[in-house]
Amino acid sequence: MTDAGTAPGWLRLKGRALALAQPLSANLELTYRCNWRCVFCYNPRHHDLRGLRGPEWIAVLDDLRALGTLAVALTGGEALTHPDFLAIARAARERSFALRIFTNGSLVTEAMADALAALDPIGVEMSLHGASAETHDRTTGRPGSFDALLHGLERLQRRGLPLLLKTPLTWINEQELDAIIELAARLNVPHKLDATLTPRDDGDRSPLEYRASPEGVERMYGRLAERGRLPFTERAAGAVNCGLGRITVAIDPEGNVYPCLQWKRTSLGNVRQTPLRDLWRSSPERAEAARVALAANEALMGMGEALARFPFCPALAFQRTGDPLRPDETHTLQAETVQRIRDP
Amino acid sequence: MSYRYAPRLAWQLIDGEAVVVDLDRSRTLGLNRVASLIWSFLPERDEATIAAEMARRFDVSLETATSDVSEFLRSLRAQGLVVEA
Repeated sequence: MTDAGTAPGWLRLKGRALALAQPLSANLELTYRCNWRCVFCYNPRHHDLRGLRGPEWIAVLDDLRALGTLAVALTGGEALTHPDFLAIARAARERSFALRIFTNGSLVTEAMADALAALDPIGVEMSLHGASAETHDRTTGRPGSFDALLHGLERLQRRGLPLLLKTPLTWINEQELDAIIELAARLNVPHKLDATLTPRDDGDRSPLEYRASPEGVERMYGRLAERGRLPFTERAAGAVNCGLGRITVAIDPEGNVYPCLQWKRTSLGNVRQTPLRDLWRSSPERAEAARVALAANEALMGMGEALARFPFCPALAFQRTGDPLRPDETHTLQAETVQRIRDP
Repeated sequence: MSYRYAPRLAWQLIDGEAVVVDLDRSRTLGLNRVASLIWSFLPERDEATIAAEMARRFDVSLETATSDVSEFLRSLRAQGLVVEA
């Protein structure tokens, strides 16, 4: 045995994967279809124009296996609305991937909960948008979605699945922040808070209108500090900012390949024209994204302590400022808030 | 004897080293390069064939390779990482 199960051991292997550009983590956006209409969703508002079918996704899984992927996340839209969702998920497990499933929980019937449990996922992640039905349903645009989430969650919890609740903070739910935290604790489910909202993949910036207030963001980071979970990143000269172009890959519902789920500015190509394994290995767009990850680390190291220590996403920066190396005002505000809480 | 991976695992090779996620016990294990080679042979080759391949690759006697491979596979089975095929 080696040290892969320890944090230093894992970092050593992750470092090797970064050097080799081995895409350890893949996000498969199975579909844009969704039965909810979250006000800040980053997906384009159209349905799949010509979505990949089950056998095409399974060919993608074969290529991911060959490329060295360890973890596959099935997401959407609402992943469970893809007609071949279970066949794709089973194929992922048959290929020994660590499987993560993102769902809004509303389609998790007793039968679906049984099927998900049989997949042995390493995680099922669901979004909690409020502590009350009124707030949650207002965010999702679907009356009844709060109750549907809680029922789905309860079915999965009864089967012992590893769950995670995620709350994107907005001005709609920021007044319920403490109640949301309490609800997650009462449900006994790990909970993650994030104040980051992004424009839609098609460039529509309307999701940003739902950003939480600076006071709400500060309160959120205060709560994270109380739990010892303030966001933090360690930077070193010559290192990369993130796995962009090296250890992450994303494929959208129509088969377009990207070097990260958020990096939609340039596609590496489409799996219907070129097999994923060829796209990944030969794409100049992937190599360019990998260079951005390197340049972003260097740029952030020169921007002062608050920004240097705060996690930075070049893809989001590009969406917001047109420059993947330039943080926008929101990012800077968050970084300074965290710095102020950490070192008052 | 032949073995296959236990069903509740995820794994991948990173630069020749196997990373194995044991979903039953919520732990991640790493195998060294030699162990990873044996691991990667598992689905297609039986114990004797793997031992012969290891003897050839590492220039050790078949007897030594057989003993080492057998001990390693028994250890994997005891840990619930492989099952008899």
